[in-house]
Amino acid sequence: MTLRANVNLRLGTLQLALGLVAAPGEVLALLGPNGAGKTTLLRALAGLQPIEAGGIELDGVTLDSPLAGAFVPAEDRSVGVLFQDYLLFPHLSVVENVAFGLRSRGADQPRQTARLWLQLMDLDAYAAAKPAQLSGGQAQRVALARALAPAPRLLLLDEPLAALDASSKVAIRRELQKHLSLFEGICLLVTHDPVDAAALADSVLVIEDGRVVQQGTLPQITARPRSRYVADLVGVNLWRGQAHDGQVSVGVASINAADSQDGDVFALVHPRAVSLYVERPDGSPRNVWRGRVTSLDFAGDRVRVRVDGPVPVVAEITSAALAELGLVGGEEVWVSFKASEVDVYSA
Amino acid sequence: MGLVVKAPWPEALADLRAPESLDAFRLSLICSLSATAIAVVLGVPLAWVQARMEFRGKNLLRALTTLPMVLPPVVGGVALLLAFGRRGLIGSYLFDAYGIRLPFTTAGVILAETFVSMPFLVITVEAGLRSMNRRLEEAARTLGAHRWTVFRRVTVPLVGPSIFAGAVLCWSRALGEFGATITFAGNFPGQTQTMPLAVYLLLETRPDAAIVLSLVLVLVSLIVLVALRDRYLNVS
Repeated sequence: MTLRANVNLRLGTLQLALGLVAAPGEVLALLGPNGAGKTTLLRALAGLQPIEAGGIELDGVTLDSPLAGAFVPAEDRSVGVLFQDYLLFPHLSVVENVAFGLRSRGADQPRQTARLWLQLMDLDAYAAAKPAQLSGGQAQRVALARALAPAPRLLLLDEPLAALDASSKVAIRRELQKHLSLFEGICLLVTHDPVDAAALADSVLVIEDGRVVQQGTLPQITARPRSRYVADLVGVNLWRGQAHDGQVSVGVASINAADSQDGDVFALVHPRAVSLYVERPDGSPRNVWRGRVTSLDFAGDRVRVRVDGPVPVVAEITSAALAELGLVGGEEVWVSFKASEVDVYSA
Repeated sequence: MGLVVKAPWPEALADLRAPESLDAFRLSLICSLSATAIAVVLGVPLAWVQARMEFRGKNLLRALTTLPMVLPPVVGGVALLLAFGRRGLIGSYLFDAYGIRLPFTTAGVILAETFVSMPFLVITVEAGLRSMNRRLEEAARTLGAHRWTVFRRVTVPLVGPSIFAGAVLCWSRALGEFGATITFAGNFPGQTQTMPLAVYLLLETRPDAAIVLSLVLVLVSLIVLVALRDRYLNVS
């Protein structure tokens, strides 16, 4: 009773090559930047895009296997999809949209069942309305009801909250969370928002350039990012390099670390641990270099200062400190952080 | 405008009520509506094939479907005679096997009108299919709808306005059909003499009646164009 997929396909410049396993009752988030291949992966699982190599298996049934010449088309898979733009049928009423899948799959009394779903979603008042008359959040719920009504084994959610405005997102996310916790099948959620992944998913697969770069629970992933993308999401400095005797060489430069781990590693430093000086600082920090301020990002009373140097680094300082340093961007500063602040782990 | 000025208004109603005018009017209506119905039944799937499927010779097929639109109707009539005439490729078979004779019959008129007017429907519907959001069809498939269900419950309703617009264009073209009809079906009153043919014939004998009948045709075309303007612009 699981989903096993090993998806290999090429689409334009995208080369998808990744494997995943998901169990019933589990919500697995696929987190990654735009163009990473998340939506293409969903299309392959839904049967809208044949794979070129590998295989997709749901509950022991082969859905796609190019080697064996097996391919179950979308209409014969027990898969429900919530599309990013919902794709409600504009010519059908809300209740008929929800009943669509039930009708095609030959269910008894599709209309009554659809009405029950609408009640569950607090949408019975809109049964006769056309999708165009709904708000974004309502349309999303109708689309979810439509996907869930035929009781699919596998539910695919493609950026379910991306089309909503920020003010309604929180409430709708909570609503979605409620419905997903009741869902007994396997659920895959595509998102580029770590907040969605944190709220809705049990575990996370980070996808970049068509490959899985990291997997685990969200705290595990954010504690030790293994990609530029996650590091940027979390807002930490992450470098990849070769470690030897407490020295991590990143390109031509090298960073001193207290950890003594050798080989191919990631080195992580939180921006709050990075200090900036106008004059070369004295004292204990062993990582000191000169760089040029390239950008300033204000967030509350903190400022993130990006400094280009031998190794690009982001420092987070208070706005008071910024005023004291007199930075406006473009000037040379000294960057320093302690070796003990560098977290080194193998790549 | 010239028609309006020249129209012999007092006799107009009498001319319209004349049996040959009524016959022509009735025949025109039956034939053009039948031709439209046939065009919809054959043309919508054809448009679907052209918009949705990839195959060799697709460009040739598209050229063939639009050919009657650019062909002089008389040439179309000749082509129909060669194909469906008594000694024609298909015509001889139809006659020998089933005793069906198409040229110079009402059925022949319908065939000629369908031949000339169907491209208008195919082109309009194909444009509608191309501009439609195909992902809605994908959504229907993920909900378990097989190809025919998708076509019937999603595709056709969504391109409904295009089908309607195409059918009206097709119908008005069929209503005005002259060249192919007179070549293939001749000009027998009550059997193959449609309004345009009646106008042509009356021009020799009773020009006044011809003007009145022409006015009726102008009026019909005008109503169609006005009623269709918005929809047609949306489609193309």
